[in-house]
This record gives sequence, C-alpha cells and structure tokens, in this order.
Amino acid sequence: MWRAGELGIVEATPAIANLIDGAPTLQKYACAWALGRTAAAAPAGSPHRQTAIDALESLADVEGKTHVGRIAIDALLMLLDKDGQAKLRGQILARVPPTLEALVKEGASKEDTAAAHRELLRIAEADDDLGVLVLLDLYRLGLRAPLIDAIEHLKLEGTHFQVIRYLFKSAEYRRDGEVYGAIVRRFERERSHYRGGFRAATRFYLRRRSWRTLNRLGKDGSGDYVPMAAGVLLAMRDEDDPSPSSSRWYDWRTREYQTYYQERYSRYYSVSRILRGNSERHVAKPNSLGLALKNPTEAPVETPPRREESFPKLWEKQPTYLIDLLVRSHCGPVHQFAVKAVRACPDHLMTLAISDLAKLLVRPYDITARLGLELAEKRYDPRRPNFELVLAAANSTLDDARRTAFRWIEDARSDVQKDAALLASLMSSPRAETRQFTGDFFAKLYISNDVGRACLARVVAELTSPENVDEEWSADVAQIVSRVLAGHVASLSNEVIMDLASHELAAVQVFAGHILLAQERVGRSPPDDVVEKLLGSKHTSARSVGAELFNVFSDEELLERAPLVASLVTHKHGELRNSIRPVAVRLAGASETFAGTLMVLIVDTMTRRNTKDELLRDLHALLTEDLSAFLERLPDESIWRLLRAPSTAAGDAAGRVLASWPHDRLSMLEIVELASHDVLTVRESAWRFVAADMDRTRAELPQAIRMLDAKWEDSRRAAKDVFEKELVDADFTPEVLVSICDANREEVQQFGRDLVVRRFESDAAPEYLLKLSEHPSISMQAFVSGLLTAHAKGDVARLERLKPYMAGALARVNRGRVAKDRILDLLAASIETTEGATVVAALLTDLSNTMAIGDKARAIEILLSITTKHPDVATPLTVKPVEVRNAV
Amino acid sequence: MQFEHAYRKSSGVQHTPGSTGVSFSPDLTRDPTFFTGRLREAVPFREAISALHDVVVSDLRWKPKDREAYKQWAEENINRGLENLIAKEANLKAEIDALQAELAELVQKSQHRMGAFYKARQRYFDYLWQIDRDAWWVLDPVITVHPDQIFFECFSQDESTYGRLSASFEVFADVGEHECGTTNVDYSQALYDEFQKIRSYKRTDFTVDPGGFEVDTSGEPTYKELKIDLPESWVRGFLQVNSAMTFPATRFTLHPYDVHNLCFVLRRKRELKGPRSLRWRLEPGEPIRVLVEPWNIEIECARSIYEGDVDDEIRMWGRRRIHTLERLIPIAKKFEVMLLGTGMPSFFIADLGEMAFTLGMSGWTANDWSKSGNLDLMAPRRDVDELTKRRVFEGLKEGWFASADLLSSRLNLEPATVHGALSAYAQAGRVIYDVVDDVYRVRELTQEPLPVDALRFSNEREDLATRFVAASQVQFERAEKSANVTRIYGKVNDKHHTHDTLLAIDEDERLVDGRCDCRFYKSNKLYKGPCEHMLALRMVFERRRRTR
Repeated sequence: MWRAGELGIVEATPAIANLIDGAPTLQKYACAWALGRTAAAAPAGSPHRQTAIDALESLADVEGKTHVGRIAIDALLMLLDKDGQAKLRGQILARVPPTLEALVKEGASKEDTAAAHRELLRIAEADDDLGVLVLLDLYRLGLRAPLIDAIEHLKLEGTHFQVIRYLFKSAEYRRDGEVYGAIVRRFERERSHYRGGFRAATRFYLRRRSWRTLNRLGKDGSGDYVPMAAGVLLAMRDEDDPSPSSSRWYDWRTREYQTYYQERYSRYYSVSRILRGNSERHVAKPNSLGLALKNPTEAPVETPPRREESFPKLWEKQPTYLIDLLVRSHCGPVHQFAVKAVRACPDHLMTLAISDLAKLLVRPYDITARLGLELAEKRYDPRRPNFELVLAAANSTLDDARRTAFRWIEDARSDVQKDAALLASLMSSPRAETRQFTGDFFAKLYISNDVGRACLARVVAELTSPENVDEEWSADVAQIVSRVLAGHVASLSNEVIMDLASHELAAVQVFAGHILLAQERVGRSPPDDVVEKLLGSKHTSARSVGAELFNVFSDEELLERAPLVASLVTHKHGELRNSIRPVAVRLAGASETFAGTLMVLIVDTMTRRNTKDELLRDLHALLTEDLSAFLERLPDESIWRLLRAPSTAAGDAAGRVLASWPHDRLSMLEIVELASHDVLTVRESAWRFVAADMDRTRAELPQAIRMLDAKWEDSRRAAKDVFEKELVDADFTPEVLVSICDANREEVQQFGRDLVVRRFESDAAPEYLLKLSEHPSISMQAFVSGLLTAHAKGDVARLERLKPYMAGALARVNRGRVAKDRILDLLAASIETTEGATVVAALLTDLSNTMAIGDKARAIEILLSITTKHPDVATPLTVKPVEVRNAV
Repeated sequence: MQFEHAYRKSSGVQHTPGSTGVSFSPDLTRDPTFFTGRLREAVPFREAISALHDVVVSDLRWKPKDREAYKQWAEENINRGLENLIAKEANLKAEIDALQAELAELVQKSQHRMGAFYKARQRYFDYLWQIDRDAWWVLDPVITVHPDQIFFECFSQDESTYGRLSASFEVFADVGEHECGTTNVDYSQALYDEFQKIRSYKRTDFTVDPGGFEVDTSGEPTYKELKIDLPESWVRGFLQVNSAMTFPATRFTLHPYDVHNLCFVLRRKRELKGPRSLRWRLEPGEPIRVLVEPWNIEIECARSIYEGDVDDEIRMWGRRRIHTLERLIPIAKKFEVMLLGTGMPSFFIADLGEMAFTLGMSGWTANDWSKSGNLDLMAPRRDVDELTKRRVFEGLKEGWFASADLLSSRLNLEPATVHGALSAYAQAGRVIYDVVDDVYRVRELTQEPLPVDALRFSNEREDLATRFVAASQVQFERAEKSANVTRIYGKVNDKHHTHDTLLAIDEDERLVDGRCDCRFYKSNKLYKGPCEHMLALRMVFERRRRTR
C-alpha cells in the first residue's frame, strides 16, 4: 500500500479503500495515506478519486485527535474540489482562536495580521502545551511564512515536539518543500536531548527519514524531488555551518589516528546528499551520517570543479527552482551548486526575465553575481538602456559589475539625467563607490527642476524613514544630495525639514540644519520650531548647526519670538540654557513686553511638577540675579503660583518679592499660610506682616492665632513672641483662648492654658470647661479636671453635659490618675440630689466593672452611698444581708 | 505589586470658628465615588476615625534594639581596666590620670563645639521624619459609599490588623448628593492631626469630594500621583482577613469595661518570654473568662455571659493589637467578638450606635514562615462555576449589598452556592462580608481585579504542600509533647520517595525545629523556611487537632 501510494498507482485506489473496514488502526492509517497519494494522481471528478474521498471522509477527524483522522484530513485537502475544500477549511477555521484568525482570513487588515503574527510567536515561545496545537490547523488552512517563523521557536519537547512531528509528516505527505525544509533544518542543527522526545535515537531516525523520502522520490524520477530538495536547501543559512571542519579519530583496527576533513554542510545528512550525493571526492564518514573528504591530505576546495549533486537530470528538468535558489538562498554552498547546475541549462538562462537577472546581480555571493553580470552584459543593449539592470549592477557587491554600470551610465547620461527614480536610487545606493560616483558625475550635470524635486523627495523619504539607522550612510547621502541638488534643496517645505530635524540620527538632523542655512541665504527665515528642535538635540553636531541658525536672528526678530527664547531659557540642556541667558537678559532690557511674556513662561516652568533641580536652580538664578527688576513687577497671581509650587527654588524666588511687599497686601489667612512655608525668607515675611500692624492683628486675632500652630518651629516661636509682647490679656477672648488650646501641639496647648489661667474669668469658666473637655489630649483633660470642682459641682445640667468627658477620662487605661481622682471626687460630691445621683450612678455603673482595685472600690463606695441615700436610683449593686452563721 | 493613585488635591480639614469641613480627596483613576453630609455626632466619629488611624500606622513587628551607641562606648572603654592594672606604679598612674583628664576635657570641648551641629542634625532628621511620615504607611484607606452606609477600611503596615469603620446614614444630619462605589482616599498624618480638632460645638461637614473628578483643561497635570509598590504578602494578608470574615466563628459579647480590663492587664505588664496568648474560656451560661499568659491572670467578665452551646477554649495571639480599641471604650455600647479558632483570625466589633468599628486580626502579628502551614484561608470553599459566580456577583451589584438568603431566593440558587460564590469574590477582594449587618457588600479593593491565584501562596512550597495534603500523600505518625515543645512525626510521599519528616512546635504554635530528608532541607536547613513536607505534615496535624 505504501509503495502504491508513493508511485501514485491510481488503479489501486478501490482495492485500498476496501481494506479499511475492520482493519487495525495502523492499517487504516496506511490506507488513508496511500489513498490520498493514489487518488491525487487521478483526474478531478474521476470515480477513483470519488471512491477515495468517500473512504477518507469516513476516517477524517477535524479535531485531529487520532493520527488516522489527521492524515485523512490532509489527504482530503489534496483531493477535494473547491467547494469541498472550502467547507472543510470552514470547519477547521472554526477551531482557530479569534486572535489568530487574521492570519488566515482574507481581507484582514495589516495591523490585525501583525498582531496575530505576534500572538502566534508568543504561543510558539510559551510553555502552554495545548495552545501550539493550533499550528496544525493553521497549516491546513494554508499559512506559510508566519508558520515557518513559529516553527523556528517551537521547543523539541513535550507537545511542542509532537506538533513538529505532525507538521513534518504532513509536509512530507503534501510534498511541501518549504515547511519540510524548515523542520529538517531544526533536526539537523539541534543536539539531541537526554530526556523527552528528541533523544539521540529519535534524531537519528528523523534525519535518516528526511533523506530517505527525498532519495526515494529521486530514484522514482518524481517531479516532486526538486521542489522538496529545493525547500531543504532554501532553509539553510550561512551561519548554520560557517566553515569547513576536521576531526581526528583513533582507528583501533589500524591502530592509527585518522583525520577527516568535512566541507561546509557535509555534516548535514540531507543537505550533503542533495549537494554531494554523486561526489567522487567524498566518502561516508564512519559513525556519522555526514560525508568526509576521501583524501584526507587534500584540503577542502571552495568551488568543486564538477557537478556533484544527486539526481542532476531532475534538476535540469526544473531549472526555475535553481534560479529561485539563487535569488533567495542565504547559503554559499547552495549557490555554488545552483550556479553550476543552471549553467547546464543555457536555453533557460537566455530566456531569464530581466527582473530575475537584476536579482542575481545584487546577491552578495560572487559566483551568483558574476553569473548575473555575464548574462547582463549579453542582454544589455546600449541603444535601449535598461535602467533596472544598470541599477542592479551599480548596487552589486562585485567591483566589475559596478564598473560596468558606471560605464553604462556615462554612455546613457542624457537618459539617466531625466530619470528621477534612478537618480535617487543611485544617490542612496548601499554601495559607497556608487554614491561617490553619482556625486562626482552628476554634480557637473544639469538636473531639471521637476527631476530634481522628485529625486529630492525620494531621497528625503529614505532618510526620514524610521528604518534608517545607518549614520555613515545618511551623512554620505546628505552630502551628495547637497552637492548634486544644491539648487533644489532650498525649495523644501518646513514640514519636510521638521521631519528631518525630528529624526533620531545626527546626520539627518544636521542635514535639516544645512537646508535651513541654505534657505536663509536666499532670504527665507528659519522656522522657530525647527531651530528649537535642533538646539535641543541630543547630538552636539546638530546643536551647533542649531546655534548657527539662531545666530542668524537679529534682536528685532528675537523680540518677536519670546516663546522661542523662553523655551531655550528653560531648556533641559544646561549648556544651551546658559548660552542663551545673556541674550534673554539683553532682550528683556530692550522690551518690557518681551520681559513680561518671558517671565510668565519661566514661572510656568518653575511651577510645573517634575521640573529638574538643575533647571530650577538656573531659573532661580536668572530670576533673582539678572531679571530681579522684572520679578518684582510680576502679578500677585504669579507670585502665589510660585509660592505654592512644589520646589524651594520657586518659593525662594517669590520670597524675595514678598520682602518688599507692604503688610496689607495679604489677608490674615494668607499670612498664616505663609508662616508654614518651607522657605525661610517666606516665613520671615509672614512674621513681619503680623508684627507690622498690631491693630489689624488684634482685630483678626481668631485667624492670626493659627500661626501659633504653624508647621515650622521658628514661625511658632515668632508668633508666640509677638503675641506675648504686643498683646495684652484683654485681647484674648474666651473663644480665642479655646481656639489656641484646641491645637495639637503640647507647647501651644501649654501657652493656651497659661493664658487661660492668667486671665481667668469665672463667667467664662463654664465655657472653658465644656469646650476644652472635648479635647482629646491627656494634659488638657487633666487641666479641665481642675475646673470641675469649682464650676460643675452641684450643677446637674452641667454634669450631664460633661458625661462624655468624664466617661472618657475614667476609661483611660492606666493613665490620667489626677483627672480620674478629681472626677471621682466631683461625683462623690454630686449625689446629694436624686438627679445628680442618677447621673453619677449611670457613670459609675460601667466603672464598677473595672478590675483596677482602687477605682472599683471608689465606684462601689459612691454607689453604695447612692443606694443608701436614694434607694430609687438604679445601681448595679445588690446589698446582701450579712450572713449570720449559727456558730458557737 | 504596583498600585497607582492620582488625587486632584490633598485631603484636608478646613476650620473656622464655627465649623469644620472634612474633605477627602478620592482617587481619580477609579470610578467616580462621592458623598456629602453633615455629622450629627462629631466627637464619637472623631474617636472612631482616630482608632482607624491607629490601625493604619500600627506596626508591632519585633524591631531589634539599636545598641550602636553602647558598642561604641564599650570599645572606647575596653582598655581602661587594663590600664589601671598596668598603672600600679604611682608615677605612671599620675601620668595616665593627667592624660585622661586632658582627654576628657578635649572631648567635652569637642562636644560643646559640635553640639550645635548635632542638634541641627537631629532637628533635620526630625523634619525628614515629619514630612516623610506618610511614606511609611502602606496603602491609603479605602472608602466605600453604599445606599445605606459609608465605610472606611484599612490594613496595618505589619500585615496583621484590619480596621473597618462603618457609619450608617443616620450619623449624618443631611445626606447630600452621593454616588455609590469604592475609592481610595488621600490620607496623611496632617489629616489625622486635623481630625483631632473636631468638636461637637462646631458644625462638621463631611465630604468625599465630588469636585475631585472635575476635568482640568489647563494642560498641566495638577493632580498628585502616588505609586506604591506593595509587598505581595501585604495584599495576601488583607485578602486573608477578608476571606476569614466569611468563615463560621464562635461569637460572644463583651462589656466595654471587659476590653478595658484586658488592656489594663496588658498595659501594666510586659512579658519577657512566652507563651504570649490569651485563652478565652467559654462555658455556656457562665461569665466569659480570659486567661492572660504567661502570668496566668484570669479576667472574669462578670457582665458578659457566654450564650453558646458547648464548652470551648480558644487561644489567641498578637493580643497587643487590642489596644487599638482603647479609644472606643467610652463610646462603645458593647463589643462583639468573633473567634475563628486557635491561631486563627479574630474580630472585635465595637457597637458605637449608628457606627460600628470592626477590628480584624490575623492569627499572629508576624506573618513569617514559623506560622505558615496553618489553615489556608484562600482555598476555594466550594466549587461554583464561573457563570454562576458572575451571576451572583451581578445580582449583588444591583443593590450593592444583600444577604445570602435574599440573593439565593432572588436568583433561585441554593444558599450554599451563593455563599460559595461570594466567598470566592471576598478572597479576590471584590466583595466584603459585613459581620455587623450579616450581609455581603460589593467592595472592589482595586480598580483592576487582583491576581488571586498568584496571591494564594507565598511560595512554591506552600503550593506543593497543599497538593500533598489534597492527594492524601501525608501520613501522620505520632505527636510527642515534652516540656514546652510538641514534636510531630510523619511521612510524606513525594513522587517516588517517602520522606521522614519531623516538626517541633512551641507553646506559641511557632515552628521551632524540624527535620526532613529532602533536598531542600539538606541544602537550607530552616534558613529559608520549612520544606513542603514539613508544611504538609503541619497542615495534616492541624486538621486532626481541629476535627478532634
């Protein structure tokens, strides 16, 4: 069955289909495999094909859970007609997650496809075992390049390796050289693992199988050999096996050391057999699948003299694959093989398309480029010059090819002069010699306006491309453009110049600067934003061009450009700021309006969050030293912004202004706010304002006393000094005193308490008592307790209002002894009336539950008195009669 | 874990002679949540919010003493005794004395000269400590506005104490515009200081600032941004306490002075060695008794009778955290206590009338490895499918809060399923179980859901240990009690090896020693914590003890 499948014997189809029913699984697999291949050889719509399809449909499993089901799906995809395929693909597509659909759906946007591609690579790199199964579905849906990318990233273990094996078998079955080659490359390159799927024996088997498949195709003379072999060769890269190698082995039979030389890719089983299967110079290396040179004394040669590949005739039948290898391969030995093989097909070479010829010329492999040059010289007609060939030759790595191209250009100068695209491509050629030639040759020639503009647009587009990261190339191109298109450069628009100035590379930015200088020479003033951009560049060369441009402005012009000057004064580069500072000061001196605008912009920067300290320091120096005269003229609003800014530099600048302000310019609340400012000069101003007008301070005392609770100790001290020296006791009303005592700082509370004691008025005592009792601090509660006996005794209403205070003080854990004792004294003295006793009983009911012996005893004692005096008042005490024991 | 907040301005308190305005600034990165109202009872609110502040700043982790100054002094004086011995000769002694006197004088002069500098330096350090104090706190409190109440939550720096203050709308005289939701509020030491100035004789307005969400079009970002890198263990601790609230617990009520007495004993005495636990002795119909170790002082709560059905003794550690409740004693009507079990989280709920303060405490103050291997609070409680879970959550979200029974009848689901689904959300920090009102409430701890699976275990070994226990691969052999230590022996079957494992646990339930023949133990001993086999054995031991 297998062989029938390999040979594609159509007539075997019904017989194979009959073997499916009741067969063991392996046989079913073989049947499905063979049916796909035999029926594929039958024409579409033939009965054999239909028989195979019917049989395969009974085996197919879209979910791919069984190996029979999987191979049946692969077979069906080869056999079904368009509608059948679309239906089957629809079923497979339904299994693909939405994030990957864009890869296989028609009409998906570029962004979606790119995102899906990224997601696929993520899946391939992730450890998620089940996620990678999606690769099989995607392959069946016809995905190519992204799939090959993903194969590169799969691990050769676990489910990943399983997926690789499925893909390998599927590609082999479908004769898909590209995917087959990508997987063979991994089997050849990677070392086997000690554990897991890809062990030494497995690797050995898979490598042998990969060549066995090709070998059988070749031996059968199959047309599929060449595409499959080309796929394997195309997958190879120069870096896979960069140089010839040698190894020494001890031969126990001859008792001598043997040296084996291996040319590049002789270690790779399939590749060495494809390239050197017919070689007389090589032998199979013992204990290895590779080839070694037969004569160990013979050094490896770069280009073997004669053809050595397997099945040369098959290659000659399909020379397009050889050309494809030459155009796309990145592997030296493959080029050597393909050039030799394709030279055996002269007819095909003479009919090769010019575009393919051009591609051969620019390949970095000399042998291929030389073949291209030979063919190009034969095909080039000086009477009708082909610019595609000219450009390819000029961009070739081969010196001869470039020299030929220069000769062709000189001969066809009048035509080249009119072709903007060619001119631009020559100027931006990747070869320095070509660029040099273009510069020298065309600088002397006249380029018309239209051609010049079109050419310039193309070169600028290349320069500003984000992919351009080559500093040397950019500098060279910019220099050549300036030489060849000097007359046209001045016509570039500001937007284009801005694009150049915004590019990452110094050479491109400098080019923008040079264009502006050229424009300035013809009377066009440079745009502010580009100058600013250049001045702010991280490249010194670009900044110096920017400085050159800035110097072009006269003072009159700069006066109209306050935002530009401000942005330079506040620039993040210190060197730039300092260079512009004298100019800014000079201009501010010349114009009041300019100075005003400049100051506002500087204040904006200083009040911004995250402004760097260095910048703030420079701006502070500028404001307080050079522009101090203007600083004082700033509006109040700006000063407040500076004061409330997060930086001390801003605060200090404002503080210097405050020093000259009259005291009545600010409200008392504002002064109090300033007293807590972090900058000393500002606080000093606040102290001065308070002390300057004591009448006002006296009148606004409720606000002014808040300075006593300022954040800074010096402010608090200053306030206390002023209030103690300048105010008399009569100025402090009870409300003001309570406000002072309300502060959280102990020192302020103490000041408040001293004042209360000093100007104690018995009329105001209840107010003090009630208000200060709400203070949470222990010291204040102790102070309040001192007022209790005098002002709360006997007053039930007041006692009621003081209940929360007393409950709080009594409940203090292990603290506030003085207050507790005073309260208990008061309570003991307040039980004369029933109302008073009720209040006291309520308070002591809780306290009597304490385990502090002293308090508990006191509470019980008072409660007992209450029970005795007022039996109606509820207490928690139960008076038990004394037990009378009838003892002797 | 990175948390980011942005506030339009700092929260603040405005004082005028007649009024006080408390204004909290909400987090702009979260859904708009605001509230305005006037406080009826300002002073109890002040006390309650101050207790919450005590939770925010609480850090009872052990800190080593700074002995640098002593060491320096000892170094300087180490040779003095030696000098005295050598200086038996009178002339030498006189010379040494003269030199010593000169040196002392020089030192004194130097100190005098440097005094100003040292003082200034100290003042500078104090200043730094003052202005940077907020940086020492971990996460700003979370505020949640619901249709019936507003509540604040916070979690302490030492990852062990949770505080929740709920205030029903009855606390406010006139509730203005409000939008339900959860947000973080800007919080600082300065704000706490201002709270202390709240008085009953001043009108007190309370707002979670609705103006905080206004858009500023000037271009310059004027808001205050905070980026906080929270340790994962902190977030895990918070979620564990949240999750613990949904567990069944032993409940009883204490008189305020019972809590006072407890604090009183702890304030008066300081233990030098363990055990440091409180033993709650509960007998049905009898007053609750608490034994304070190691002094074995028994506090009888004569006015608090245990109303449970069975005798029980529950031990509790980290008892100094109860001091947070001191400020609430005079204003509380009673304290409800919920104990999940020995070494398990406990909750004290202060009944403040229209307000309630919940103090949640993890099993221990220090959440280090010596206690790991106990009950996994983050383990899924009941398998509920994702769709049903979401349905229950959406059902709860409709009214912001609901009891499990109400939800189950509304959604036509079994109450156990509703409990299971909501406890999973509680573990994820998206729902909170309100032990006061016996309802579940929506409370999204963060704007983006937290990675609960990643937070469940603090290391890979805990994960493995849980798997061993789940797969019944742990065989408990025996436990031997000697002096203060219990030794537990067992075998753990790990793949193809059976490990002989030994654990030693002291009276404070700390793992003090252990042995295992696994590779991890051989390489690290206990320096990196116990191996997965020890943890698994401990879990099995705890489980046995609990079922008994």
